[in-house]
Amino acid sequence: MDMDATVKELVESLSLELRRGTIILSVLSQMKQPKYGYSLVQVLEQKGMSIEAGTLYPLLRRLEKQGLLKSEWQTDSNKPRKYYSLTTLGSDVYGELCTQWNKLVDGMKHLMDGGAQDE
Amino acid sequence: MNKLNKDEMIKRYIYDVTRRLPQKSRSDLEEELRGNIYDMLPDDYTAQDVENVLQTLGNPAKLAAEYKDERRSLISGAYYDQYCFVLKIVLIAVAVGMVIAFIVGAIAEPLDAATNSLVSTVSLSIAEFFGSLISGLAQAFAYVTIAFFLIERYNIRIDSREWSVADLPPVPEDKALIKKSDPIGGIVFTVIVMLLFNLAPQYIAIYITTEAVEAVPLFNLEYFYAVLPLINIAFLLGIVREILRVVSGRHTLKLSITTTLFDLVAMALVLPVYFNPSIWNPTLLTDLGAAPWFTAEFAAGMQPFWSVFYIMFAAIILFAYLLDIGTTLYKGIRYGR
Repeated sequence: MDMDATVKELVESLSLELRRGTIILSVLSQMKQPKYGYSLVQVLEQKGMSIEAGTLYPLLRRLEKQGLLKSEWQTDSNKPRKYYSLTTLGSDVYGELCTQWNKLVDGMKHLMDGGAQDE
Repeated sequence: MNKLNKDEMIKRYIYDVTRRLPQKSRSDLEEELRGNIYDMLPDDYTAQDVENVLQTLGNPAKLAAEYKDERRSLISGAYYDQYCFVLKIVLIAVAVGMVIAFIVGAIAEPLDAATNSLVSTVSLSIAEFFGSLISGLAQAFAYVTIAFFLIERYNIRIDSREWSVADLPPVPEDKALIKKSDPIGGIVFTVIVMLLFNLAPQYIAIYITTEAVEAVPLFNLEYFYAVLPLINIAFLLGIVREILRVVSGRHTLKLSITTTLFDLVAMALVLPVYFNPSIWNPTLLTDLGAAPWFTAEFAAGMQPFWSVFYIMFAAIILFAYLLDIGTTLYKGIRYGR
């Protein structure tokens, strides 16, 4: 019982660390169409990659500072919203990151299968 | 709860986040954060909804830190060890110095205040002592922290380039290493002298025995207090110089040039002060006349020596600085590579 609890706890914290590395890729993947902060929270949640709002909102601004995203205020509705979308640089970087990600997945698969064969 | 209260809650939250952020980005961020919060609320939201949303966004301090995304500590990890080390030495030196100053003061004080009962004088000065001990330690802490902060900000930014194996410094010969005891000794000595200068300059004196022990101050205290800030800056420069030596840990050309600059600035500050006759007690000779050993013949014998006494004191200080510059430059050039 205790053992199970330890396993669960460790898995939880380690998988959190795994997910942390995927946050930026997750965000960039959804930014071809302009989105405002909360709409991005919802989309990611629907697709099973929920990211906390408190992490996401600051991240959007950081990515904009880095030139990966651009932003625009839309004030036509009664709720003014800041819409973010990919810049050309952002979409180049996203494309390259996707390649990296696929390589990573292949590499990991190889490692995991290989590990099974060794046993 | 009515709508105003709900909106007040949001207003307060936004304020609590943005007040921690630089002015520049504040208004845009405020707007955006407000938009985000209202987006997260249902159309007909209750106070409970607002609370839930704010709770989701979390502690304002944490959120602001996410927005800032900057180095947070004043003294970064790279210097933290040396910072703690120097801080320890300085605090110990201040405490020891103040205890010494207190004991000297306690011995001298009852002579002045013969009318008060000895007990009340002592207990009063013990209370005073702890008061000044605490503020002294707090000041020392602040100075060391500021010194390291400045060192980190302006001086040693050599790590900013891409690191390469070629950058590895050669393992220094033993002679190129700076023994920690040297800068520590320097810091302790400077702190103690600085305390003496600031807390009890009247006891920097020649002590004579008439009916009681009497202190004849060396300095003209009025002038002394006027120039004390200059002297203090020179002391602080000296402390920073020693801190640089601790941080470096070995003689390098860069270190020797930097410490030389510190010495030159300190010299420029204090030498005019010490070479100026106004700093010395003008009535020193007459005051000393009260001492039984200060006979007319003695005074006459001292006369030629006396005229150069002032200059000698200043010359000793000049010599100390020149010695420090000389040895530093020699070692920096000799072992710097």
